[in-house]
Amino acid sequence: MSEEGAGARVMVVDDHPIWRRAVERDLVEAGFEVVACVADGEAAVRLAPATRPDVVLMDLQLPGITGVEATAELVRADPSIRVLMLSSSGEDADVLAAAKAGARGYLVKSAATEELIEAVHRTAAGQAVFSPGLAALVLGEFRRLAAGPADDPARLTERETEVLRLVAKGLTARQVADRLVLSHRTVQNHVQNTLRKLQLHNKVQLTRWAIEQGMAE
Amino acid sequence: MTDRGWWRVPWHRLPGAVGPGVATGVLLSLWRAAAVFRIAALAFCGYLILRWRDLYAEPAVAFGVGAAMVLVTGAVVLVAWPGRAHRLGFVLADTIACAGLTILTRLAQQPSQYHGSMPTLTSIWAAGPAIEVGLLLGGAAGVLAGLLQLGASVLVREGYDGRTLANGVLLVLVGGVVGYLATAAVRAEQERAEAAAERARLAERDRLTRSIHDGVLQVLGLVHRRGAAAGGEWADLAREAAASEAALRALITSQALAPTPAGQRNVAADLVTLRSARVTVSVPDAPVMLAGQVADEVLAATREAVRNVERHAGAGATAWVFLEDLGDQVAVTVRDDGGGLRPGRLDEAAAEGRVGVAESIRGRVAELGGRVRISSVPGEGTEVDIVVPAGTSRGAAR
Repeated sequence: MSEEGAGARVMVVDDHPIWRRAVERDLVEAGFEVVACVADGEAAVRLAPATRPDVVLMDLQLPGITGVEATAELVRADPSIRVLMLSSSGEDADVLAAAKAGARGYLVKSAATEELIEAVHRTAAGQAVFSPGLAALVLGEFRRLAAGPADDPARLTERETEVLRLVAKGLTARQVADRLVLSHRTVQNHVQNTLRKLQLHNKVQLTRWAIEQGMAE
Repeated sequence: MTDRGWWRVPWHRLPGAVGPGVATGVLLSLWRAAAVFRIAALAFCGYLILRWRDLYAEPAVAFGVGAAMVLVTGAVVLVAWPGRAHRLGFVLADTIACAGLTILTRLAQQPSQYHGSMPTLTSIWAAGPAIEVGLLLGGAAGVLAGLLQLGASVLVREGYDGRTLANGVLLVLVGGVVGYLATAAVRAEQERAEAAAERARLAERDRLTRSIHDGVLQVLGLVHRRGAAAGGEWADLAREAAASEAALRALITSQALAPTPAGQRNVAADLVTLRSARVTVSVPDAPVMLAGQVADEVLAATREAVRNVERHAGAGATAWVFLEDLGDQVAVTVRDDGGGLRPGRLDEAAAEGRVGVAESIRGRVAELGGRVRISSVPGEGTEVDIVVPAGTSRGAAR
């Protein structure tokens, strides 16, 4: 288990009270400082400036504004904030949308406590937390983009595609590094880059859209 | 009138027929409209009989026919208003009575009047049965009923002149048009009702899915997480909870399968049904469309590979299924973290006649023009790569 990011400030956003309490206890036991525990996205957005969390554990299924909208709002207000999505498998569209909106990682809700703690550590340390599901979603999204206009800058390098494929097949970062004869660090960078490209592309699209709207007026 | 008897043939199976029984909905309104038409037509015929009462050869017969028409109209209104006239026996009796009353015109009128300007005693009232048959059995039967009434007036007139023919053609058209419209209206009503039922079903399913998602699944997930940490007996409970959670989730997901156009199917939606506590399925968000048959085979081959993991990779082995859309090809990988295979192990299994991976997966995929690669490192699990051509006409995949 990595001890990077120990003592980080964490906000928990989940509408399920039992879950919230359980996660809070696990995080505190692991040495994190839980600065806020809220039940919906509005409260998360409202409390973030005052509590200044490093990591936000965000359930994607929320009452009121969705986890995706809350993620976008949090990242817009503070681009350095690190949102780790928690969701059930089978909510692929939401996971992809939140990743585009600026989330730094994704963990299925059924993950074991140690996995959760490890994922928060890594998120706090600035690393991307990728599950096989997120890797498949990101690969699919880049394929969709590749079929679009040719001037689009959002492309994966061959190496990045290779890394994502292995992650999607269930290999850990360590196993990916072994198989491709790369350092663990390099694999991490590749994974992080794919997410960054996707988010950048999303931002460019939004800006372009905003400019077009402005010009049309 | 009863719907028992020899005429209980399956009329409702005939094309355009709407079937015997009780009329409801749009059909009931049409029957009531038909009853109103009969009353209005009766008033018109009564006026004609009274107006020409001195001209008939046998006024008594004319009045008798008029009285019979009043009785028949009364019966039709009484039975049709609550919707009970929508049965073959009743409509048949009305048809025969109406044709009979038309023919009785011969006894009432002077021979010169048959060929002259005088209409039959029943005149437009005789359109009633054609309308009823149309309502009951559809347009074609309505036309036949119209022809029957036309035949009755031709019999009265010993032939037909232009006017008889024109009236007859209108009668036939009324039967046909009413029958056609009734059939169309009933079908439209049925479709609307089915659409409403489907909407209600979808809403109910969404509600159930949401409540399962917000309640049971969260608790199962929590038991899984906390139980695993507690160890011992609790860890067993945690495993059970995880398995139930995965099964429930797969059930919810499979409920969401939507039909797609042109015989194509989203194979991603198929594969996620394989999710369980030990099987992770990763798919793109965009649908991966394959021809229905190809999707069937891909699903079957993948399921075979997953089952193989459960059987042979050792207890506690985990499987990862990864679906990737490569444009002109679709790739599915099933990887496990089990012990791996000795080199040649698969060929041995096939040689021993123990089908399974080699036979089943290779056979299925080869028939689709695809290929299978099975690689394994002892101690590092096995990987089954399946690649199939995506086919020429792909829908929403891009």
